[in-house]
Amino acid sequence: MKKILFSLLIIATLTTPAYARLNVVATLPWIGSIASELGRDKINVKVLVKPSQDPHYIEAKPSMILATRNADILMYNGLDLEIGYIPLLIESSRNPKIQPGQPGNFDCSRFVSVIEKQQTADRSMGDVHPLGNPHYHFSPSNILRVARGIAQELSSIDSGNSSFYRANLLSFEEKLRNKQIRWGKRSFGGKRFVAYHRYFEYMANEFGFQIVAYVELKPGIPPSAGHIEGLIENMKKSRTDGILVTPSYGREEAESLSKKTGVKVIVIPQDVGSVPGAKDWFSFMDIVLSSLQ
Amino acid sequence: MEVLSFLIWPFAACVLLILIHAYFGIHILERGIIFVDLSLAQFVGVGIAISFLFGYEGTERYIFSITFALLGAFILAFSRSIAKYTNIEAFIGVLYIFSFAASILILDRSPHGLEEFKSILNGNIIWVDPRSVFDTFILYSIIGIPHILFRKKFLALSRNGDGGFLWEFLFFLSFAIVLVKSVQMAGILQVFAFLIIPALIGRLFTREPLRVLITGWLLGLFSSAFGLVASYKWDLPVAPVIVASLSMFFFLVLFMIVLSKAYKMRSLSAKSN
Repeated sequence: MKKILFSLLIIATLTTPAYARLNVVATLPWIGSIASELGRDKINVKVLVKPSQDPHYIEAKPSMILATRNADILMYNGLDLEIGYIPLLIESSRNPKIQPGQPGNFDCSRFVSVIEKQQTADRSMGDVHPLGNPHYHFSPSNILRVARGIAQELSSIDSGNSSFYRANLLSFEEKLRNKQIRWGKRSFGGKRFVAYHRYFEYMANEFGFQIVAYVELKPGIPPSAGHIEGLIENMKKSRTDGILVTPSYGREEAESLSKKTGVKVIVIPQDVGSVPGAKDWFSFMDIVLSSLQ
Repeated sequence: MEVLSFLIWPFAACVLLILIHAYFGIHILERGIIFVDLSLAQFVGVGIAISFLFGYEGTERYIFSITFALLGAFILAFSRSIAKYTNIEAFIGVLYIFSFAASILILDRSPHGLEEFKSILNGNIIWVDPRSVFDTFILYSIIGIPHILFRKKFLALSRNGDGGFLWEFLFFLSFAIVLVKSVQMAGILQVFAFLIIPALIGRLFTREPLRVLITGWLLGLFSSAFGLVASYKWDLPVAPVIVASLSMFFFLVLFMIVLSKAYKMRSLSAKSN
């Protein structure tokens, strides 16, 4: 009798994981923000990359590996953005739940309609991300799809709380709808920007402005003198409404370009938390869009 | 227990790195070409940049690294002859900046950026797994055994330049091969520290190679262990903690030696007065 009770108890603990909080490890702050919005007090979120850091790299610390070791879900941006550390992180975690192909390995970009996919196998044409532009977190329509994906993921791994997650998703969608109405009233139509690098293309598509040129053609490689000269020439000839940069990257170069052309520099926060006030994804987008105007 | 399973492989990797780099460090200090490792590693980087250009990975990229290691060893084997015409440290410095500049120019034509290149060139000890520790052990043994067998030959070579071009070439080639592996595993910062500091501390006490080596090994192992535990305890990036603790150790020992010398001098002059 005791044995039966004991085994029942074991089965019960194995099949109803509802009372323990899910451990979610997110690579980027915006992913953490959306996961928290949907999971609230039912999940623990640990974000690996600091808001002002370059998302392509992390300074590896022991706490990151320990976090992935205990993770139920690892959520990442995908499209090769974290290619420098995701494979290492997954391997060194030795955590079976987050291995590729497992439910705990959650690539947010699965839900995104990706732009700038390279069609040809030839990569010598100079695109760093052959899978497509990875900076979709500026795109509300894609974020909505990602949020639905995350809610689905949380519900399937922690089925006991699925109605909780679904309710949170509904209020997220409601909030986004209201925001979309307000954001839609801003007009960006016909605005022409020069950007430091390929970061804002999803936003340009969605909000109807143009990015006419780039300062840096490849990350980390200084642009050639001829390229800069041509750029200045073009910016003087045709109207440009701003030079778009992120706080940590390319600001000095943009300032000097601004002095030569008279076009103002617009600093756009790169992720949730990288400027004061951008405490979650919604307020982050508020700041992004108002700085564009 | 979790701490142990977490730290054991990085520590094993540190042990291997210390064993071989403190040894090479003695040679490098004898030769007085301190920055040769930075230069050689960056030169091998040119090979990796070229492999980026053609979209190669894995084995092909490895072949490019080895080819450039060979080429770099060949150039540096002339270092004694070069030293007759120009300042050798300056030559090594120029080789470094040339390699850096060449890599950027090559990457400009390849689909990858500089940051990605740097991250491939520069590993982090925290990621090592049992397999790479084992591979490194095999590679270092293959390089290390001839160095043990011909230790007198190699030492005479570094001290007085006794030996011909072939031995010089073999020395730099073995050094380059070790370097490529270690930099990819632990990053340039840590490798440079392991190469120079243990041998430097050892030489504060003695010039006898074996004693320098043993002192260097012990201090290197101590700092690595301290660095790894500190990194775990206070959640800090691993390589900078190890490098900082090793450097602090060097400054501390140096300061104490200077202080005790000054004290002896004073007591001596007090006596003579």
